[in-house]
Amino acid sequence: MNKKDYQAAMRQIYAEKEELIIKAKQIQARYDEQQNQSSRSIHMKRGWLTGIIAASVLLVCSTFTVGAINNWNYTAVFHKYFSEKSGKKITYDFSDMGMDINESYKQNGYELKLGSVIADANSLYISYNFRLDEEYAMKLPQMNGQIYGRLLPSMHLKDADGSYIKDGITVSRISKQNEDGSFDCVARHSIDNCSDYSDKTLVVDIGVPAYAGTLSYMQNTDTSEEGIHTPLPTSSERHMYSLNGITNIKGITNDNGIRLIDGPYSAYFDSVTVSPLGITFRCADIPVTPPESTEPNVKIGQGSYGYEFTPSLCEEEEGAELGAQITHYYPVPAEYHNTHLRSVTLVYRDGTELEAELENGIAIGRTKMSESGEYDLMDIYAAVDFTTPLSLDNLTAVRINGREIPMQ
Amino acid sequence: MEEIGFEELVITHYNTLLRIAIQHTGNRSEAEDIVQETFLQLLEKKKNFHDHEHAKAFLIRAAINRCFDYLKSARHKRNIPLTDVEENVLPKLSGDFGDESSQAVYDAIQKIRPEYRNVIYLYYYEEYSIKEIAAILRKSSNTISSWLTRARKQLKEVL
Repeated sequence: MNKKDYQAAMRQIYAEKEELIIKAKQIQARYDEQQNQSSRSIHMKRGWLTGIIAASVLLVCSTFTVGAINNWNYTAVFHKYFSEKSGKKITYDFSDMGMDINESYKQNGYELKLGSVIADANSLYISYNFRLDEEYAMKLPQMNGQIYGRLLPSMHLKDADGSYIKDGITVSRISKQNEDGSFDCVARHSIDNCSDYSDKTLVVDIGVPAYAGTLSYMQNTDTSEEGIHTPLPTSSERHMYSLNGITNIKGITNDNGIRLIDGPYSAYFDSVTVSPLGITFRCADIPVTPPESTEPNVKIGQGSYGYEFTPSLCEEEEGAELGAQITHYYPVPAEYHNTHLRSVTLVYRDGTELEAELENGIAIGRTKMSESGEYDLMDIYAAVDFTTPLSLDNLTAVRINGREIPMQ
Repeated sequence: MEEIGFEELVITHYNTLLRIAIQHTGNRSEAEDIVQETFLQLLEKKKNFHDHEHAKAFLIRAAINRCFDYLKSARHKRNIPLTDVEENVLPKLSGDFGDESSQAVYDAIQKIRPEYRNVIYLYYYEEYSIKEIAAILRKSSNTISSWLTRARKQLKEVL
């Protein structure tokens, strides 16, 4: 490909001026509509915030709440979740590890059934079922395929002191459509090193579901996509659930310090933890020039840094300033870390080995300026999921890119 | 200098943002959404511009940020197995892009890192200098230069 080919290809992407004039008007109209809604919303919020009691009453008496569902089989939901992800039958036993919520809410636009929660130290999985009202479902073509997008109520975690735990992000995965038109979903919330969920609270904003997003469906052997954006009505309905019933799925940690080498790059981690659900790397402080190395593993540029090894820490957010004590969130797509995190193999006492199939993950860190005026990365944690839960029974080691690390 | 009207900004810069976005989404419909949300953001921030270069730089930066947001969410999309592995990748650009050589360009672009796609576009299509790209993306010239070198290398590998 030369410059001419590239330019020729790019020139084929355009919209005509007449179309652009219409688009400008549409965007302006959308903005005007948002402004109107926003002023209505502010008015409502003022009313809603007249007192905690009033708010509580509003929540409790919400007309949206339908009631509890019985017998939600969370083991089945999570087995379905992991088996669809990996394409394998899952036998992992989740019994007694989860906590059932089993509540159903209905509001104009959709019905949401919150199922159950399971967790390890780095991930909280929340199962739910989602069904769009006929009015909205009718807008989706008949299909034999998937819907994805943001069929996700807004979920957050609160700490014991009521503050939000900000080191997590929630992503959602949605199953194939069930016969009754609903979707079984699992939201995964990232969290750093949580050994005890008993004082944590799950906050679910039922009324902020975003919208039914892009639809992908099968036609013969081709995957077709249609961008269908159906905004759903919103409300201020919020529910909170204590997570005091979760048995944290335990992992195994090696905290003797790990150095991984990959070609010209090397990286040092304070610890590596393997859980049945994934692997996590941690480092309290990564200096520009790490121990036992003359080559920096952190590259600092003006306004950006890159951590060129597993798992990749990528660009900082717009507007962040180096030197400030800031936290960066960066979901790491599988294709990024697969470049460097080529293989993770679990080694068992009887000599059997199992190569983990890796999913996407998340890397989080902070920057600080060292005394010498260089920028260091601090409090790095990077978690990479396995596509299917793996047993840690009789695990003796984990081999990362060929380097064996004892795990006992 | 007179303030540039919203409609004029859309007419002048929409296609630039569309080209940037489509390289990330691989899908025109999603790219159009990103562009429209970028312009919406412009209205929300009540930004006023008196020259197009300033406006263009702002819009490019905002669109790229939205593209990265999209990639974070598209990641979930790729998590969803359809019926086999092949369908988990982003859909091929089809229909909109005419000849085979253009399709090959798009296929190649989608295989390189998102940051590199932006630099390739700004350098080879918009013909910005490395210094100008650095200013637009708020990176150092060294970073841009390094990205450009790696982008060329990756493109060679995938072509």
